[in-house]
Amino acid sequence: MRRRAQALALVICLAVFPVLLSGCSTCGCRIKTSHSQYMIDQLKAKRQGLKEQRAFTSRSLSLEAARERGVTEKSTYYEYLRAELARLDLEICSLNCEIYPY
Amino acid sequence: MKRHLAALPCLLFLLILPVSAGASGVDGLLQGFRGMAWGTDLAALPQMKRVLTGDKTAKTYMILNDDPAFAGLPFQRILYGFFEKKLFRVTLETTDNRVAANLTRLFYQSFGPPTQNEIEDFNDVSVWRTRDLEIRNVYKENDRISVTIVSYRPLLEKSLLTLK
Repeated sequence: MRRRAQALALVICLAVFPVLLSGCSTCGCRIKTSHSQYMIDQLKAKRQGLKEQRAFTSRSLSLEAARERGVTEKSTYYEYLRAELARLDLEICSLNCEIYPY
Repeated sequence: MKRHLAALPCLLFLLILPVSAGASGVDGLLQGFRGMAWGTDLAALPQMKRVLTGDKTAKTYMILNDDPAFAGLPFQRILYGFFEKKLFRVTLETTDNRVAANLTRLFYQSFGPPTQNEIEDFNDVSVWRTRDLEIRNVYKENDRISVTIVSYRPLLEKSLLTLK
């Protein structure tokens, strides 16, 4: 009986620990705390600002891509816009993790 | 034939002029805005008309019957900020994302990537800072107004001190 309990505890630990230790697959954050409604509203407003910036950067990148169509070596501005998109995606993802902890 | 050759330099000058004027728009920001030097006294700019914006750091003006264009880009509105009756800030407003994107591109070409990104009133703001200038870009979607604020730092810092 005791052995069965120990085995069960081991199985539970093996099942639960990876979930606890693994973070978000995109931004790697491991946020477990849930926030108050006020704080969530603030985070959502901040996320909206980042989303607008992302939409703008994405559009700028499309314009730049059209401008540089056929050019093999892209300009530093093009590369900057791509890096900026990646930064914004990470920031938006980490806010998502804060708003909806898993 | 000789006459045609004589006209050629003039023609070339006219072709080059719009390009260089566009470039000097942003490069010239270090000295001033559209020919108005930073720190110009309000009294020397009689075309300015006061507008109320609720801004506590500056008194805001617009130019009467102005064509609100800068660096070859059309804006909806250009506002001029004065502190102690001296020009220290210009605000460019547009709902056209293409105009905002082209302006950002010009800033990048003149000043490189933004010095930093700041969160201000829940907006992600791109900020360029040089010794004398601060440029802040706030983008908005869905026909809302994107704003670019160009400030002359020596007077901007003075105006912010009065708020404290």
